[in-house]
Amino acid sequence: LTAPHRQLDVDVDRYVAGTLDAAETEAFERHLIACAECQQAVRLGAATRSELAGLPAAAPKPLPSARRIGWQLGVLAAAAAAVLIVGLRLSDARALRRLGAVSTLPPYGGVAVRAPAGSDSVFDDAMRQYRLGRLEDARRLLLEARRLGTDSIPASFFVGVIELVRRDADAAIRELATVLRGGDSPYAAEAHYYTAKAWLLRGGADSARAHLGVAGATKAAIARDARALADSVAEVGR
Amino acid sequence: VESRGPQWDLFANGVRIIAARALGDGAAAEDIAQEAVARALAKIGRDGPDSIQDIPAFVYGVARNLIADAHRSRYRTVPLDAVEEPAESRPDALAAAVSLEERERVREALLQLSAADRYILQLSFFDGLQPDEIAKRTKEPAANVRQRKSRALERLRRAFFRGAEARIDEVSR
Repeated sequence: LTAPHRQLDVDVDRYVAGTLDAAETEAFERHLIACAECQQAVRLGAATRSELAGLPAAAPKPLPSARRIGWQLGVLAAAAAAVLIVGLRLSDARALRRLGAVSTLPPYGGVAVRAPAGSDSVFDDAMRQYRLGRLEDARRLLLEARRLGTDSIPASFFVGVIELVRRDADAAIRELATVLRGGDSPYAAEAHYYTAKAWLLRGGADSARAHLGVAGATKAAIARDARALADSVAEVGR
Repeated sequence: VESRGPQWDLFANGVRIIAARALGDGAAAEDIAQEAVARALAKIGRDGPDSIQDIPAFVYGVARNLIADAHRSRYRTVPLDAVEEPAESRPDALAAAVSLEERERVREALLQLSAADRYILQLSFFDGLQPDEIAKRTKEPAANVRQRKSRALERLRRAFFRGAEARIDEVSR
């Protein structure tokens, strides 16, 4: 009934890395749906990829510098320089990802939110879990509170931050975009700051700089952090 | 659905991974997994056991439609020019298929690996490179890379499944 077991390692790695094309992805997923071994391998690969992104870059062996190689090996030196340029780009991406990491959660001050009866207690429960660092529970309850009608701006802000901690940059950008579309809310400056962090996780320095510029120009407490982070982003690749 | 049997759990797990990767949302992926399996079971209950020739393919087709619906409903309420659109292939979204606890166990195991072994995993899971391609970059025999990668993954696998084994032990005690 199921598709034949494909070249397990190759497909799993490339599925996790996102380098399969559309047809290869579909073929792999048709197999994956009924293959426990591939399901486990994909989940392990996903966890590995996710956690590697937050660890210090694993340095490859140092490459010889062009100066040491000498002028008589000009062709080899040029090749090594090309490799170094690629290496720099890779390390830039890692440096940006490090700047995108969130080490401390933004505090929640217990500000009342607009909510219909019933959903306010769900929001309160969510924020209790958030303060305790139980982020999976907090996220689930925030989504539930929002579904029940709680003001989407604070709910989306904290879901966005949690997505960022989970290193799901796309989901964080999506959630924080809801806050930004709300205009001039108490969460706007911080939403720009954390959106910048999410873009850094994705290696998007230009988008990050744009959001940091907005956050840095406000009078919010986060403005100083935003300007400092913008300076650090500017340092990458210099 | 509770007593649907291990084969249906397998399909649900597969859909959960596929939907998590497409949507980056573990809760939505769970809903889609349950719904895809429920629809297949409902069809079999209604039209008989032979009504679906290839059950995994049927479940996969339903899952793809549900994922497309979820995409459409998301973007229906969001002005397209207001959001910087994520790329269609979003490997980072796959993390939604893994619990925070599992990721923490893997992180601990990763910290025990050498930087060189982590670099091999990085090239595998970020660039999709195979051992012979990695060997060209690290300038060592492909067999070495293959062996180091296999050992590193085995250590991660043991850490990853450690929690599941502990829970099984608790239940059987």
